[in-house]
Amino acid sequence: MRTYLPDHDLMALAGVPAVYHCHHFNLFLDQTIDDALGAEAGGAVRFAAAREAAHDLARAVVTSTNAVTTSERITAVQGVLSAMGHGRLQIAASGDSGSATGSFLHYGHTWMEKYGKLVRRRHPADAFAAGFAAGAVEVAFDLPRESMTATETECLALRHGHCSFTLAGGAPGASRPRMTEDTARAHVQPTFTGEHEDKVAAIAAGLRDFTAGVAGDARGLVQAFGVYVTAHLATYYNRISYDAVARVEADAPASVELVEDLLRESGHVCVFNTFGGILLSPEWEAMVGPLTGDPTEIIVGCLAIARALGFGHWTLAEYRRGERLVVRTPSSYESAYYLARHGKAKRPNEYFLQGAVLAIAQLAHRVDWKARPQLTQSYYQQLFRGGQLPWKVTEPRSLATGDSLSEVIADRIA
Amino acid sequence: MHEEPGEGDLEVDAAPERHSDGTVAIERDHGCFRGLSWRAEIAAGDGQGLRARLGAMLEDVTRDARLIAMRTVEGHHVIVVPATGRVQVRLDLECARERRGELALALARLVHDAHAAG
Repeated sequence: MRTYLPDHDLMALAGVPAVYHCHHFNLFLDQTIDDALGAEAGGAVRFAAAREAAHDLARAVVTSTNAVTTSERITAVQGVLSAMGHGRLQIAASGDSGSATGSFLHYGHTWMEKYGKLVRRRHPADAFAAGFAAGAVEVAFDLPRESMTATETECLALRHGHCSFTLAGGAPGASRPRMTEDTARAHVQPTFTGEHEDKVAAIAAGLRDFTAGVAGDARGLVQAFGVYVTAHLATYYNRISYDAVARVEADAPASVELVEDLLRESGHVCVFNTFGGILLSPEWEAMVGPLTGDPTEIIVGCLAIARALGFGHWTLAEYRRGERLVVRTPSSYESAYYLARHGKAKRPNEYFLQGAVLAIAQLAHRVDWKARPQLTQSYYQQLFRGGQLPWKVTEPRSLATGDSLSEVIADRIA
Repeated sequence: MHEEPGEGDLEVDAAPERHSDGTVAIERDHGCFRGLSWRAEIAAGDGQGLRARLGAMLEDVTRDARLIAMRTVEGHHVIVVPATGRVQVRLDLECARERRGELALALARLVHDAHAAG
């Protein structure tokens, strides 16, 4: 079911754009959307994005598995959700109404794990699962795309015993073109290589082999590399990010910069937790060898990890130790979506890519890898929030604005 | 605003923790899962004999010879990187929190003894 666009390293599940991300990133990005729009509007945006992406995945899954009856279709889609590491969902629907219950749902469960003893949450956490349930029912009953609604009435993150959803039919949403692997293929540029290409490509291939057999455990969760990993739908991330920016631009333009900064920070969160966790893992040690702490080793490793996770064909264009890191790519999951859905952007807006490159520079220069650090929240705070960051990131060229590649530069601040 | 933890579970996990029975020593490995991941060391080697001996006691779930992977009937995993001697014990989430250090040490001891028998 998992494929990669050759030489561009964009991943798809059953032909639907997908990437791997960890729970730290997922929770941070969802919170960013809610911070930008308010919890109610944020939840609605997240639900709508999940429903759209889930519908496309569900359609592809029932087609590829030849699931005919509604029961077969729902069972197949529920199985895929668990295999992706999102927990378990039991859907009971009859046409355009129904209910669903969830256990170990990724967002609610990991929110409780991470924040449960520290923060009282006031809104349900599982808009993604709600959207997934709605999309699954649409496909199971051949209902129009984006027509079902789902409301999470009980949530683990609200300290209920489990998660519950009510499902109901509604008016179909605005017609949007499907985002598929072919859509991504149509919005990449001719590929190229960078420095240390052989090593980057070899590590990326090895990581793909290691992750090929990874699937949800009995809970439908994937615990690996010190984090909860999900195979996730790229359209979900992209739609919530770009819709949030557009709404803030319309309603509160003075706040756009702040929202963009938070979207960039999601790249810091991902690289610190997931990339860092992979670098410190026994799997990495077996495949690549123990870390020596050489910054080039970390940079090369991070580019390979990005490719393996389906982020795009990240290459090393230039590196001057302690001064400058330049990453170029002919493909990114952000720009492929933006170009397909919105056309050319007015300014470079691959926020995740921008934040990730800055974070790679940080990890390469400021982490003592030989000391085997614990990648804790306090260490994250120290590295990324302990005052002015020593790197400034710019994106002088961007696929999203019509350039032939995306180029992100992290320069050391004098 | 973003809800960020202060001194919570993650920080509990961050606290250095080691256990030893005098011969084998383990310490908490990277990860944020409340004492589920532990690290030990053995001498580096090719791992073939070790894999066979561990496989006689545990389920061999190795997918790549560079990374020996064994599973216990309780669902714990023992991972060994033969080339470097790194051992990682991954405990099943369901095991009692207060017993995690003790369980991990017992599994590390199993690896140590299997290695020493070679």
